[in-house]
Amino acid sequence: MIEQLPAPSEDDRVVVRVRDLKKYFELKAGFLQSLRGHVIQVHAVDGIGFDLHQGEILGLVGESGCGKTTTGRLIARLEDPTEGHIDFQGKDIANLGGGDLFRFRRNLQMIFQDPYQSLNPRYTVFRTVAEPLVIHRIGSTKEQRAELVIQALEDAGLRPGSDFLLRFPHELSGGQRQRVAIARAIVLHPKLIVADEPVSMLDVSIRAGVMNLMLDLREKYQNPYIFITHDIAVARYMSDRIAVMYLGRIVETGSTEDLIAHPTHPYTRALLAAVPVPDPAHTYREVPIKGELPSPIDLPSGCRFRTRCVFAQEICTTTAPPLVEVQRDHFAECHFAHDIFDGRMTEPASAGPAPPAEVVPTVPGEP
Amino acid sequence: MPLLAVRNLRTYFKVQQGWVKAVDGVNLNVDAGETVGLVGESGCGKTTLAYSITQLLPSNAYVFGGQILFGSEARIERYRREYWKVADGRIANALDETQQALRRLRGSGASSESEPETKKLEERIALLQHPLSVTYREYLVAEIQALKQEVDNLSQRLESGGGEEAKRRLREARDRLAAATQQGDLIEVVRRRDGRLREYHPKLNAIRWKQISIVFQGAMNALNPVYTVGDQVIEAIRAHEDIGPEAARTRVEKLYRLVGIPTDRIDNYPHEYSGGMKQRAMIAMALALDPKLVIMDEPTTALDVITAAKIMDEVLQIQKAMQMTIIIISHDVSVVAKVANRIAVMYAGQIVEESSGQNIFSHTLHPYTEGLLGAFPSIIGPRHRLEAIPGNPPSLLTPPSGCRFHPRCKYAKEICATDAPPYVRPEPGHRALCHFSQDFFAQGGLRS
Ligand SMILES: Nc1ncnc2c1ncn2[C@@H]1O[C@H](COP(=O)(O)OP(=O)(O)OP(=O)(O)O)[C@@H](O)[C@H]1O
Ligand SMILES: Nc1ncnc2c1ncn2[C@@H]1O[C@H](COP(=O)(O)OP(=O)(O)O)[C@@H](O)[C@H]1O
Ligand code: SF4
Ligand code: SF4
Ligand SMILES: [Mg+2]
Ligand SMILES: [Mg+2]
Repeated sequence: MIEQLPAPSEDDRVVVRVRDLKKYFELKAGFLQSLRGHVIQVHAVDGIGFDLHQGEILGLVGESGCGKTTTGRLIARLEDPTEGHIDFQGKDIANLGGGDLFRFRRNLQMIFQDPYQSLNPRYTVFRTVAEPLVIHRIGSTKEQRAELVIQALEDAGLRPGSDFLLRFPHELSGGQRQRVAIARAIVLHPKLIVADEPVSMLDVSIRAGVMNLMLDLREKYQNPYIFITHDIAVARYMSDRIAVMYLGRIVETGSTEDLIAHPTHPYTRALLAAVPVPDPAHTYREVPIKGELPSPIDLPSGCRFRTRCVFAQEICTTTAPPLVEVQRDHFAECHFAHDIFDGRMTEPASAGPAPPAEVVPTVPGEP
Repeated sequence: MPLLAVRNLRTYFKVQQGWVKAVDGVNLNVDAGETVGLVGESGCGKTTLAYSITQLLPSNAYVFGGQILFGSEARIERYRREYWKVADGRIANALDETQQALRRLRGSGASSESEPETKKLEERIALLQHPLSVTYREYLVAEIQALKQEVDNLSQRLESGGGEEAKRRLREARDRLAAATQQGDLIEVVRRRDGRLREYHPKLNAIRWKQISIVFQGAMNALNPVYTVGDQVIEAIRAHEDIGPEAARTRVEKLYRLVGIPTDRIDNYPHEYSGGMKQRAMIAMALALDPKLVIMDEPTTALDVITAAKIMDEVLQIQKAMQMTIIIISHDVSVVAKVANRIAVMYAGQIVEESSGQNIFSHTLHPYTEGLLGAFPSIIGPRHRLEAIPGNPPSLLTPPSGCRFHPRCKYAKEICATDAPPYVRPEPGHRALCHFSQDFFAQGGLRS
């Protein structure tokens, strides 16, 4: 597949430029009886590209298994790419190894989904947050490190930071644990943070606080984030740009408000139709999508969304769709991107959604 | 018609450090055909409430009080409510008159002659202020007698030629009589004097699944990997109903079609199902015995939005077709807003607000509900900064004094730390557990 994003410009605000990035996982032969003897490949990430600018938050959305985590891990170089380029401030880090890779890692930190598993239960908060400092030999005395740790904890909203230094994870709430994980990620002042579903496991009332914290930190330090989430409403809240993934491809990207207001790829449109809205007056359409996610081992020919697409036509079976710029900086990978964007094509009318059954309200239970 | 009535239920767990007050004074009525949504954050007692209703509580659970009525007993509750609408008015008048009489008597100066009279009036006031359960029973007896009389009269009239109209009225009167007298499928929490649960109610196993079924939280992960999914559904059916393997399989095929799994997947193993298919299979299992009430505990939480939306749409269609009643539990207000006719918000073991779907959003009466709604990002409307609720949900081992929300509430006043708030009902079908809900209502709701 030819990379069709615009050629790299001299824009020095670009922190990360990803081009044609691929990761194929090989499953052991014999894993599936029917395919015995063959090498089976999972096309987890299959040729993606995007630019990430200084101070920008890129939301990576898509359903489970579409390759979000793998993308994050590739950029953090916790995973070796099968192919492609990751340009980090002008330097291709896709094939770094050894000491170079170790030195690069300082620039990038990850925050994970589960605040219960990502912290070592036997480490104090101090030890957890100071660990990256120790690894990268920053601060020569414990006092110097403590100062940096306290600063990071307070940046993460744990105030006063010194009160938390000697606590263990089990002495913290879920929200506080995730704040410790954030403190650990920012203590080195990394140039990029990859956050993989950082609020999915948190209670609703705490989630907003952690999201606001990350927005505030971005405001303060102007570092870019890749924010991975399966929840497009969360992605809208957090990101300046959204990239929608489907089966290892980025099928649509655009500025958050453009993409939400003019969803163009049929998959994005289905995602948006499916999101529940916290308003009972909202009218839902039937979700315009067919069937289930195909296996990433056995990808459909042509457009990989065609088995579920309500717009699909002959050409979609035979030819992979191009990446189309439907409006400035808003791309969709679909043969009919312009027609859909301009409203010349819409989802076929159908039976409509199932409204909740009409029921006469009752008197709530008497105490 | 109420199908389920939960009355002042208190379910506590015994742990080393003391009692976890997981459900603490919950009242909930569920009408036949309704979809009731139960929302709240992790650990607020949603699953415990569901397990109390289905009597699946673990052995360290103790029920400290309350009642759970299901079926016709719950219907009698409705009679009680209708009765009280009339009776409340009468009692209020009588109380007013008696209090006036007492005041007059006292105003005319105390004397030894008036003392017995004063005492009599005071007793009457106390009685009028007391919830009159005796009167209710008398009322029911009278009601049943009146209905019997009506049925007799109507059948006599019909014998002497009464036509269609009399026939219809007779049918109606008979139905009402049946509803009022039927003992029916009473499930009551059965417990020992020390609060410990007794063995299951003898009638319970039959009622459970046949009448009430539950889709467990995370159930799809509980499928046994060594049996085919179809076999597991068949086994569930045959455990509760005396039918042969052939008939059970036919039923599974029907159920699979209902919940949208291709029938050629019946003989696959759980690992060959996607998450969405597993969850559909669990729903099929819950529907297998044609229950009246289905409780769904976080039925779509582990699924991606597209699968979740499709499954919920299908569940709603099935509900309509099968006239089912559903309680859907979720931590996500949006999910519940989409499907429920009525929403109950739980916080720290209590229902803090309940209303028909619309009202809880249009005039929010409880600060916690306001906080919860304000914490959700949405894909519609303008993007504005979300407001987090400060602090964390409390430990239910030692819930805060007074109002359980007071340490996190921005409206809290002194009284909130000391006095437990009452339920306030400023409009029909809408209640909130807060000292100031009446004021919030007067200003048009908290989110206006
Ligand atoms: N077997 C048990 N022993 C002791 N405590 C328990 C037990 N089961 C639940 N609890 C406690 O009871 C409270 C309510 O738990 P419950 O599972 O009902 O919450 P929930 O609202 O369903 O939460 P979630 O959204 O996480 O499923 C919690 O504090 C929980 O820790
Ligand atoms: N280490 C691995 N070995 C084999 N397959 C993997 C591995 N990691 C991920 N995959 C597969 O790659 C695809 C994308 O996974 P992932 O990046 O975790 O998706 P997401 O984060 O979007 O849910 C999935 O099909 C997953 O099963
Ligand atoms: S290329 Fe064809 S199948 Fe693919 S998204 Fe567009 S219309 Fe659908
Ligand atoms: S009773 Fe007081 S603390 Fe509780 S919700 Fe109302 S205002 Fe807040
Ligand atoms: Mg992931
Ligand atoms: Mg639960």
